[in-house]
Amino acid sequence: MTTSYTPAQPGTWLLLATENSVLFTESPAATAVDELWQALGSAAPVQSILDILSRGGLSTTPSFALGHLEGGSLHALVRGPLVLQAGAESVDGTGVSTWRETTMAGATALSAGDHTGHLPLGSGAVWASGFAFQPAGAVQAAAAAITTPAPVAVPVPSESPAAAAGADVPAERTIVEHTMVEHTAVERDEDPVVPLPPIVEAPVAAGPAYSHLFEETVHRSIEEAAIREPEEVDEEAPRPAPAEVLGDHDGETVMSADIAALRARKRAVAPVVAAPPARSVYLELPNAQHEPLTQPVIIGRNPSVSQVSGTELPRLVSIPGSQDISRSHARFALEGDTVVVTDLHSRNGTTIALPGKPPQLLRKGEPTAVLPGTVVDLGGVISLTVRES
Amino acid sequence: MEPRFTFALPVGTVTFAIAARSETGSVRRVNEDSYIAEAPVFVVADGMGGHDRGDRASQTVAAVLRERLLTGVLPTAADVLAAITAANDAVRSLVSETGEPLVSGTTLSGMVLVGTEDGVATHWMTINIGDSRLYIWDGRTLEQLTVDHSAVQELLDAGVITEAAARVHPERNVVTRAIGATAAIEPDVWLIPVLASESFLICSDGLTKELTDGDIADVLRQHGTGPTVAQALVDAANAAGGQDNITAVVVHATLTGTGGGDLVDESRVDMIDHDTTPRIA
Repeated sequence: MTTSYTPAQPGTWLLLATENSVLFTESPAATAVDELWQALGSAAPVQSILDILSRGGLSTTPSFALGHLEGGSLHALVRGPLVLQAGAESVDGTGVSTWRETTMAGATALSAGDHTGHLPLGSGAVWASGFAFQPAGAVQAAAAAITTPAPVAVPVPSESPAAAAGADVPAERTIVEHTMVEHTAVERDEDPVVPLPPIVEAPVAAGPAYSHLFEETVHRSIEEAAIREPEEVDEEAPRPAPAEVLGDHDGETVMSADIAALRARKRAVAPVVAAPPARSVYLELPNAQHEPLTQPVIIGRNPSVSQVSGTELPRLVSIPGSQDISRSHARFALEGDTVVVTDLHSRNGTTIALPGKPPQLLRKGEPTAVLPGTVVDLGGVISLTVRES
Repeated sequence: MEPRFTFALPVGTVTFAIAARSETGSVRRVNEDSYIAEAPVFVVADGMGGHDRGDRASQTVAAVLRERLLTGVLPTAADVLAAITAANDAVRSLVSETGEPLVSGTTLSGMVLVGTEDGVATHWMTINIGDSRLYIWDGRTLEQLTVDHSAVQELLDAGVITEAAARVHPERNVVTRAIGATAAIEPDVWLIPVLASESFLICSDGLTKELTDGDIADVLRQHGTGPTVAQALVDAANAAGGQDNITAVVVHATLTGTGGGDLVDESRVDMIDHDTTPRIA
């Protein structure tokens, strides 16, 4: 088992390698490096690393390549502008909202970025622009013949010569594409609607698997609820025409367990993210009333909200009397340290006047950041001021 | 049996006419549904089969909400959310007679009249977890406000199946969110203004699996929101098969008083289509 790398400037991409795992990621925070290092050496490095990298939600998840060799098979994942060379197979992280994942039987070479540096690395961490991970007994030629762009460069071409070259290598593999679509509904090949069996007996001994046939309400997670057969690779949403699929990975299956784990993590960290703002920001209404922005505020003639999560319920502030103000006219919220104003498609519009600037009309539905001192005019009828104390 | 209640609000006085009925149906042996139909709280909870003692789950939720929200003081939206969290905790800590933890769950749908902390304005707070439903009835059309947390709803949203297919889909009783299922509960919430005159139907899936929205509207049209309407809905569902427990709560709310033009003259439809008068410069 050897890892080799091409060195790079500090603060670029970090390569962490152990005996049987390798992680290549955009410069993480110093505090995260310790965590990542421990995770990489843990019993379940892939899961642990994903936990750490994706904990702030997908938008803050860095690009990465991750490889783990266990029990004779290689588990490889890639996100962002990287092409991961797993044996003869080329896995491209671009154009995917989450990451791509592949599992290959047998000891397999793995490389990403510029792997021509050939500097050996045992177990440790280095700044690198690329690496090659060469398990004992793997075919050297596969990785060596491939050229991939540096990880920080522009997105890679989708047609890597390696993909074609690897087409005749009969490695057993599964390509997995993660999506963050909440609805992981899956359709069977056949008509998913089957008539009820003509059972009329009382459901005395019906187990959970059949209880739905007796009109009992049962709870399952969304993943379980999706109709899924183990061997099926047919999938999801609208699929491209078969011709377009040919030559591409057609086994794009949602890993439901990972989505469930992601969601669970998202929920678990939410309270931390939503820590109360250090500053005290409020809206000063015409009647000198103060509305603190400790939670989002919707102002209007008679405001309402539709189907929001209980955890993000706004305060509703009524300004009755004038038909020029729409029922739900504008929304104010503190996002991070920034006050954001959104015109809720009001009929007469919302204008803002930043301190010392002429008033400007907000584009409807478009969240706009404003500074304390900004005067916000609703429908030309009332104006209120964003204040900070 | 037409209980009438009035509730004094800052914007006027709301008077309720309430009709509620819950039956086991013709197939099931136990009624696992529970409900509260007492101003200002109107909810239905459908305890889940396939779990231990779904009836205890729904009864527990009703008891917790009753204790925390029927205090004589108009609750705030935060009070309602806190009560739902407390109800979730209570369901999760249910134990059997022998002290074993019960794995049980329940839906919760309905609405609570809430006041803001300063008591200046009031709204209907509609909540939903699972596949019980709240409908708005304006005397002509029936509109489902809540969106089911169910497998078939997800298939529908994804465009995989049609509404007709959803009605007979084998997974149609699978809910994807429930009280008692997870440590943290996230209800869907709506806050809607109180209108001059409006009716609501809150029901368990035992009603909506047997009757189409059109069937339900026919019964409402025939009985109005009088005292017989809940029984009539349950009877119709029983006649159509009664495969599951059936619960229907019908509330008619009338606002009178100082609300002003906004609150008295408009319907929900107007609210959506003709929101604000254009300002003439």
